[in-house]
Amino acid sequence: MVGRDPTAGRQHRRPRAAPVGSLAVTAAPSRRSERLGTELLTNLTLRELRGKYKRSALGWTWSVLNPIVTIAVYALVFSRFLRTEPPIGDPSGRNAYVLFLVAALLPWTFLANSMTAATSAYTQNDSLVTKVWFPRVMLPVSVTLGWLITFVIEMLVALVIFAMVDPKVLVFALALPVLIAIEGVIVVSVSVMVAIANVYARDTEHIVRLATNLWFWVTPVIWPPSLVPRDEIMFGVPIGVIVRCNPMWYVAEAFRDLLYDLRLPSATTWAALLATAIVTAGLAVVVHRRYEPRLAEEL
Amino acid sequence: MTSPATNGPAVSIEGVSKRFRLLQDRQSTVKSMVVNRSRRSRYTELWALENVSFDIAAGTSYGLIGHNGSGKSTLLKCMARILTPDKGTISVNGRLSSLLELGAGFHPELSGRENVYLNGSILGMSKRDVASRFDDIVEFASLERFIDAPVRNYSSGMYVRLGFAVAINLEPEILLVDEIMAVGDEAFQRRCMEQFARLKERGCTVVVVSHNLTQVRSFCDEVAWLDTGQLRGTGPAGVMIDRYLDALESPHGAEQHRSGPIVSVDLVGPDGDPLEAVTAGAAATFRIRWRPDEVDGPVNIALGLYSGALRLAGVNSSASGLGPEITSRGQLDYSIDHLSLAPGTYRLAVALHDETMRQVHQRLDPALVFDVAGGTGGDTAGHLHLGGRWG
Repeated sequence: MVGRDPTAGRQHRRPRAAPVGSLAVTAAPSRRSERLGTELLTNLTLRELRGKYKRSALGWTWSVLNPIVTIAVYALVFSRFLRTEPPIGDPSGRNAYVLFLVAALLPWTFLANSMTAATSAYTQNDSLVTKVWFPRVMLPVSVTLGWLITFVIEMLVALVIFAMVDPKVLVFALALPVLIAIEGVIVVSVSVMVAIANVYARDTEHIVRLATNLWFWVTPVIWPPSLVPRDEIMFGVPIGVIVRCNPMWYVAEAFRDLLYDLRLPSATTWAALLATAIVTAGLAVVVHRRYEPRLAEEL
Repeated sequence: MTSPATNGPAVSIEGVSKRFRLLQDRQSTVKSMVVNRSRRSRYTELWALENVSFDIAAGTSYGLIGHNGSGKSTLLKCMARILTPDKGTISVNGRLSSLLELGAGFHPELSGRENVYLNGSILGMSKRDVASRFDDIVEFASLERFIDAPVRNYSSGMYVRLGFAVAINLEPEILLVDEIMAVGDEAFQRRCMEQFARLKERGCTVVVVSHNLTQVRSFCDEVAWLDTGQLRGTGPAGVMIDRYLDALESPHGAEQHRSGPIVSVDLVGPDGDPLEAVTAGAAATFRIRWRPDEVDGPVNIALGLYSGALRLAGVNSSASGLGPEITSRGQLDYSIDHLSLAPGTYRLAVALHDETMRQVHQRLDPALVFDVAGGTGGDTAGHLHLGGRWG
């Protein structure tokens, strides 16, 4: 976790004895409140999506234009200027840098966009957080959901292109929903945590921006993983091991397995992804429980 | 707590305490946290509420009164679940809606229609509920013509009306209201009061925080009086308000200038010297000074003149068309050539708003308690100094 909580060093002073402030509210029929929660999330997500491109001449086109331009620039610089050779797809035999790039860049952009945007989910909606009660966690969650929808649309467009190259990709694409769901869990957990951290320490915004940038370059999105000198030692550990401590390594790898190499990700990759999802989700729940009740007064 | 008891309390507050940590120098940066970790003296602790317990019976209209910083808004926010008490419990029995801020969560780029649905779901209304009441909401807000325009083009009055219309149509069983009668024009305020009365008839429990004691007296059945975080008492509205006012007008009750941008409120004579008392019919100036850096921009100052719970006058600086160079400099005078008050003790309340009157920076009641001495006019009764001549 980035931002330090000002109360962290002082928790022994907190009154631990029960009853700690609690609220009992008439339990409404749970199906109704569930439906209301879903509707609220839908409305907040729509607000995210609609608000994003309002008052811009190109509107929704931006959500398509952005990735296209990014892909074009990376492809130009890395493929043409720097002569980066993509690894040959195994077993697909594919050898196209753009496809290699797109397969990992889209899931990466989802994480980066959601994380950066969610950081200010509470701080930007302070009037809402301090004036109305509602399940506040919906704020960062709706930000992630907004970007998830953008990601899925981008993925569908990309899939058409992949299928034109080799229709066999559609078989492997059946595993995509599972993969996207796992990445979604990781992204939403991180987003919830950075949103809370930013309330307690506004530096989080800057740290997140910086960290996202660094993270991007240590993740094999634009460069092939084969570039890492496996056996070279850094800090007494082989570099090959260090780079694999990055959960996004496995995300990039898994998407590439399905879309570029046309194979199922290895058991190790699945295990690493699942473990990351469980750990981040668990952390997010703990952080949320501990720090969410005080959000209104810290804002 | 699961079965809504019809005659049990709507809200039950038991031993609630709420502590705020006031950072001496509010810098939430990682650096300051790391650097200052060992220096705990940088916090001052403030108990905004201390061991407050009382019940609010279902169907009553309940007022929370007390001067600024008494904890009444904190208590209301605890009931609304926005703040979590440090100790004690609050049980709420029924569907709760709060009018703490009207139109909170409106997205400026979205249309009024889209915002109604958004705001409704934030307040816990289902899409179907909103759809079935949509026309009522729009009609109540009188925004039929503008409902599909983006909210950013709304005037502040339209904004508030729409927010109120959504919240009131939730048909809550318990409604929390914080000073919203202070916004909007006269006609809108009247409609709000009518709407509250209608809700009350329907058996809705209304909890109101207000500085307008006249309104509290006429609207509320019961009142809880809070003083620096402690409950001074609960009881029938009239009795409690009288007790509160007695305490206010005694010299010890006039607690001044708690935290907020207002530096001082003074009664000064024509030469600028502070006056202890003013003679009926003489010149007087109310001088309000505030810290402009804390309010960030031009302000609107509202003065309210009271005798007991009776409001004698209310004036508003925004009506005078002063430029921002005057209303942002940190001092504003309200000068009266002939103070038309009969001898007696009066109370001045001051509210400092932002220019649009949407945000209250600080409200002081009493800001000033002053005496008017008898002049030559022979005033013997009432509040008005007529200033006429015999002969």
